Amino acid sequence: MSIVRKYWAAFAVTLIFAGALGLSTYLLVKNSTALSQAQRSTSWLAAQLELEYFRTLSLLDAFYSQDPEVSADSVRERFEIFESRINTIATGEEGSELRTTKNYQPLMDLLVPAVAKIQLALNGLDSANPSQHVAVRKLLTALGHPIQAWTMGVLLHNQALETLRSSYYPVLGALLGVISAGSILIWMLSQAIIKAEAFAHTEHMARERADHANRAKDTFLAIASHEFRTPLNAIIGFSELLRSRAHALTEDSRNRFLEDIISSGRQLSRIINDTLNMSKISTGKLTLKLEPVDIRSILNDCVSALQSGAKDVGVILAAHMPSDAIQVLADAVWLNQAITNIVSNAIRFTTSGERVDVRCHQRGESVVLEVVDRGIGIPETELHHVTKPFYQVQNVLDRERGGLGLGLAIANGVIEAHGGNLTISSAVGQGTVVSVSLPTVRSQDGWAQARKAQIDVNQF
Amino acid sequence: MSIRAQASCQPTLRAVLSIVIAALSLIASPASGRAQPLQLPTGKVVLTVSGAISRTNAGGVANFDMKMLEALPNTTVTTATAWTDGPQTFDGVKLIDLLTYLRAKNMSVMAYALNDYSVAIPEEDLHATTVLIAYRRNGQYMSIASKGPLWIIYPDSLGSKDVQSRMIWQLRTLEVGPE
Repeated sequence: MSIVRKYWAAFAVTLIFAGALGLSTYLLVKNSTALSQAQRSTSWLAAQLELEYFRTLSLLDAFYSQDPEVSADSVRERFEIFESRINTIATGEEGSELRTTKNYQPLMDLLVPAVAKIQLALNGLDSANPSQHVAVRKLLTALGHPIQAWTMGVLLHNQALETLRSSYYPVLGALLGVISAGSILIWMLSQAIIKAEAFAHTEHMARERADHANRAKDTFLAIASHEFRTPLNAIIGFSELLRSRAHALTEDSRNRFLEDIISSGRQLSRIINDTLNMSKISTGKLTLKLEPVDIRSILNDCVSALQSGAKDVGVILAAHMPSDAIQVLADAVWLNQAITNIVSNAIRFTTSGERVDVRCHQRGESVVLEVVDRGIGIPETELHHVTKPFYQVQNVLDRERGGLGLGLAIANGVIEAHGGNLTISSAVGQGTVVSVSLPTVRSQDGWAQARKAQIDVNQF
Repeated sequence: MSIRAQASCQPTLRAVLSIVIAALSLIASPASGRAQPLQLPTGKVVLTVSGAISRTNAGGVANFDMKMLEALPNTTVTTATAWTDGPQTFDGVKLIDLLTYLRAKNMSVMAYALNDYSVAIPEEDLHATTVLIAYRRNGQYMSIASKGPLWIIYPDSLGSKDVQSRMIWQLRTLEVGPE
C-alpha cells in the first residue's frame, strides 16, 4: 500500500496508458465489425431494390407478350414486392444507414409519386392492349436509371468503406506493438521500483548499522575514560598523599599506599593492553607467531597464574589434563592471553566456595578446551552478544563486576585467528561452559606445514 | 430503443372448441388410424404448409385462407423490429400451435417468402420463445408492400442478426421437416 502511495504517479500513468490502449483496441475492433455488418446490410438492401425493379419489369413484359403463366395478379404482386423493398429502406433501423446516403432523398421524391401512379395503372391491366403496355413501361423505365445510379453509389461507397476497414489492420497491428512495448516498459518500471526500494532498504540498514557502531563507540569511550580515571585517581591521590604527608605516615601506611599505587598502575596497564589488543583484533592487525606447542603447558601456565587470585575470592580452580601431549600450531603468548581471559572471566562470575574446572581432550583432528563454572550464567538472549566487544561494553553500564569486559571478545578474536572457534552455552543461575576448539598438528605432514606456516608468518 | 414484448392468448369460443375437437381427435386417431380432414379454404390462399403433417386439405398439403388462420388460437406480440419505427403490435397464430393443429411429425420448418427468400426455423425457437405467424400489424391486415400478408415475428429480435434473419416477411409456404 505504501509503495502505491509512494509511486502513485507511475501507477496512475500506467493505468491510464493501459486503459487508453485497451479502449482504443476495443473501439477499433468494434468499429471494424460494425462497419462490416453495416456494409453487408446496406449493399444487400440496395441490390434487392434493383433486383425487384428488374423482376417487375421483366414480368410486365412477359404479361404483355401473352405468357400464359403470367397473370395480372402476379404482376401486381411482384410490383408490391418491389414496393416493399422501398418501404424497407424508408422505415426502420435496418434502412437507416441508407437514408443518409447521397441522392437518397431525390430518389425517394421520384419513387413515391411514381409508385402511386403505377399502382393505379396496374389496376386495369389488359394483356391485349399494347398502348397500355407502352404507357406502363414508360412509367417504370423512368425509375430504372435513378435506381441503378443510386445502387451503384451505395456499392461504391461500401467498397471505399472496405478499403478503410482493411486500413484498420495495420493500425491494429501497430496498437498491438504499442501494447507489447508498453507491457515491457511497465515491467521495466516495476523492476526499477523494486530495485530502488531494495537499494533504499540496504542504505537504511547500513545507516542503522553505522549509527549503532557510533553509539557503541561513544559508550565505549564513556566507560573506558571512567575505567582509566579510577586507577589514575588512585595513583595520583596516593602519590600526593605520600609527598605531602610523608613525614606523618608510618612505615606500614607508606608501604600500603605504595602497594595501592602499584596495583592501580597494573590495572591501568591491563586496561590499556586490553583496549590495544581489542583494537588490533577488530582492525584485523593481529599478527601471530605460529609454532607447535603443547596445549597442556599453556593451560598449566594459565591455571597456576590464576590460582592465587582464585584462592583470594574463595573459588576452587582445577585443571583436568590428558597424559599425552596435544600439539597445536599456535602463538603461545596470544593463546595464553585468550585462555587466561576465559578462565579469569569464569572466576570473576563465580561465587565464593564454588568451583571452576578446566578440561582438555582431543576430539578427532581438534583439541577441545572446556572452562566450566557454576556462576551466575548468561541469559539466552545475550549469549550471542557476549563475544562482541562493544556490546559488552554497553552492558557494562550497570556493571557490578568491573572491568572493561573485553576479555571474551579478545579471546574469541584470538581463537578465530588460530582457525578455531569459541562457543558458549549457559543457563541463568546454573553456570556457563565456554568451549574452545583448536585444530591439532598430528602427522609429519602437519609438522611440515606447521614449519612452513611459521616461516611464512615470520617473514612478515 | 427499448424492447417491449408481451404475448397473450385470447382464445375465442371457437378456438376453445377447436382445441377440444383437436384433443378428442388425438384420442380418437389411433383407433381410426386416420386424421380428421382439414376444411377447405374459401378465400385466397395465403399460406401453404407441406411436408410431415397429418392433416391436409389439398393433395398432401394444407392450404389456409386468412379466415382459417384467424380461427386458430390468437396470440398478440408487441415488439420493436429493425424494419419498423417504434413498438408494433402483431396479431397472429403461434407457429407451434399451427404445427400442433396440423399434427406435424416434426417441429422444424423451412419458410419460403413470395420474394423467394427462405430460412430455416429450428424447433428450439418454438419452445424457447413465441414464434408468431403474424397476419395483422397494429390491428390492420398487412399488404405485400408492407411485408404482408404473413410475417414471422419473434418478440425480441433487435440484438440478434440470426433472429432477424428468421423473421421472414411475405411468408407464403412452410415446409415441415422430414419425419
